[in-house]
Amino acid sequence: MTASGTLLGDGRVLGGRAMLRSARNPATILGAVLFPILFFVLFNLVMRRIMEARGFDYAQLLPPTIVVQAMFFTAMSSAYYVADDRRSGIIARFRSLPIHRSAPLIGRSLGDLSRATVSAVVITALGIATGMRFERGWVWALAYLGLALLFALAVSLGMGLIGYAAPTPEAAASIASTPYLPLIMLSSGFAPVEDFPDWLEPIVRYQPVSVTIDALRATAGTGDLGDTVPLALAWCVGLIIVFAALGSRALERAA
Amino acid sequence: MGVSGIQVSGLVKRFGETTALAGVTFEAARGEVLGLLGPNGAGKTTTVNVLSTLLRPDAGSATVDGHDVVTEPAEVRRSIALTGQFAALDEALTGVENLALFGRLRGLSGSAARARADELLERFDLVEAADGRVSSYSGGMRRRLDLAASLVDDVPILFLDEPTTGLDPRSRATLWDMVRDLQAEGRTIILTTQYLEEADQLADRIVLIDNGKVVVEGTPSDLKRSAGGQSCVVQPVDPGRLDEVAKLLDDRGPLSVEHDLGTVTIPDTEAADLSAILQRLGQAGIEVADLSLRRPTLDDVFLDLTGDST
Ligand SMILES: Nc1ncnc2c1ncn2[C@@H]1O[C@H](COP(=O)(O)OP(=O)(O)O)[C@@H](O)[C@H]1O
Ligand SMILES: [Mg+2]
Repeated sequence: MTASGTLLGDGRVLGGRAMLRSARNPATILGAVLFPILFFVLFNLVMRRIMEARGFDYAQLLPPTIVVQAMFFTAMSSAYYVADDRRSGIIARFRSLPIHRSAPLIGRSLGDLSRATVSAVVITALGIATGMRFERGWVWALAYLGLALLFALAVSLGMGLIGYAAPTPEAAASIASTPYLPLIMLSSGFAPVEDFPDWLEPIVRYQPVSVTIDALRATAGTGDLGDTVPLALAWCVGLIIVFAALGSRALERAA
Repeated sequence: MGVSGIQVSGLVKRFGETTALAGVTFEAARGEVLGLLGPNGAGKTTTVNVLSTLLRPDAGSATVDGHDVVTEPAEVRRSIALTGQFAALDEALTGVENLALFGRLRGLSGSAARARADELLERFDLVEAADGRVSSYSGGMRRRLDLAASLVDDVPILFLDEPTTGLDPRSRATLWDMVRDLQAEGRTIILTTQYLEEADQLADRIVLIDNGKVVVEGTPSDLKRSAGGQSCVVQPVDPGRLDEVAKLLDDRGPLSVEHDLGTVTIPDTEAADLSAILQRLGQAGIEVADLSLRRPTLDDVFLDLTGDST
């Protein structure tokens, strides 16, 4: 008999708990599905004709942006959930159990990814309904979904850190709702990178949100795969490694 | 015989400037209920958190069920269950789902966890609430479920951190009965409390801590004995004659005169002394409104040693 449970076994049990908890919380469904749909509809109404007049294929360009935005929305709940688990003391109780040390982190990530999957699939379906096409075939369509989820995982792990640092769940939620706005506004998501001031352009071009949106567009057929996908993978995997390491450490200390 | 139960030696824990534990030493034998008694901020929760491997001590050592809490935390976790100061449950899940979750995390299969959950719900009188979300539970129900969640696996050592704080008297009595049952099953229990009555009722031995240090330890009756024998409280009808009473009786030892209560307290008095006292007061023409013997309570010990005025 081992002293501790297995990472995957315990992680799966805690993942089930995280999913149940999300499913029962109407606010997370709002964040994961309704808000992104609202943004999608509004941007189509306001921007589609302007962008098409400039020669852009907006049906291809917008859905990846909204998917990335949706990944932010789904990840924000993670900050709240972590802080809520600290307040209720359940995180300390998990730590007093003979489970794998990192199982709570895995469990939470599974919950986050389940919300992200629902959200990404819904937005993508909406995109297809308004004219988006996966021009490189279904394998690259799966890569599109995979990359979106990888990005979601990176952001969720980052949001989790806010949950460990914030004094209350409410504070965590409001802090978590701020980084997405500058990151997505100063990205290739809503306006072409060339439209930004010269001094800002390199930052806009290479920050992780732009890089991920560009790679998603490329997997759907717009843009070069080799120029975008490796860079996006490097950003996402790098952030996941750093945030997961910091998250494990924070978990060790949470009492 | 191997080492078992709990041994705590010279535990020190600091949080920045605050020294939460300044060298705490005590032992709990296997099967014993040890009451860790102390006012708010004494270091009870910190002690429990070190023993349940949530916090690393800055100095000192502790073994739980024969395992060192610092070097063998995984083994310690197999032997213990922690019921923290605040009910640590998932509010979004139902009672049965919470218990099944903790059962799975303790290594039970899905069906075994479910069966165990049903058993515990029965035992803790939560069958009707089983399928309601914890967010709708009363304080007493939460506490019972919280305790049940510590029993999904048959662990030998339980930590109960202020299990009845904030409960109404009836829920408190119910919880006391449950703790007695757990004790009867032979478990070693560390129970922290701010209530002397609770320690008196439940603990085999009491360790009184204040400001991160053990002030005194012993059985409840040891501690009461250390507070001195019983005393006699005299209340004359006319409070104006209090000093006269004190003068008449001052050969009986160091008296204390409480002007605001209108009483004189005579130390070390036996029932047999009472008639002599009454007689002496009667001869001086002092009418007595009340005369009573008072046994020392744990409160006396507590207040004496912690200097707490509450
Ligand atoms: N995480 C912490 N950070 C800073 N100070 C703490 C922390 N935990 C406890 N303390 C301090 O340590 C002392 C003992 O606290 P605690 O063990 O919670 O007492 P008790 O449980 O007896 O009320 C208190 O002064 C408390 O303020
Ligand atoms: Mg406490």
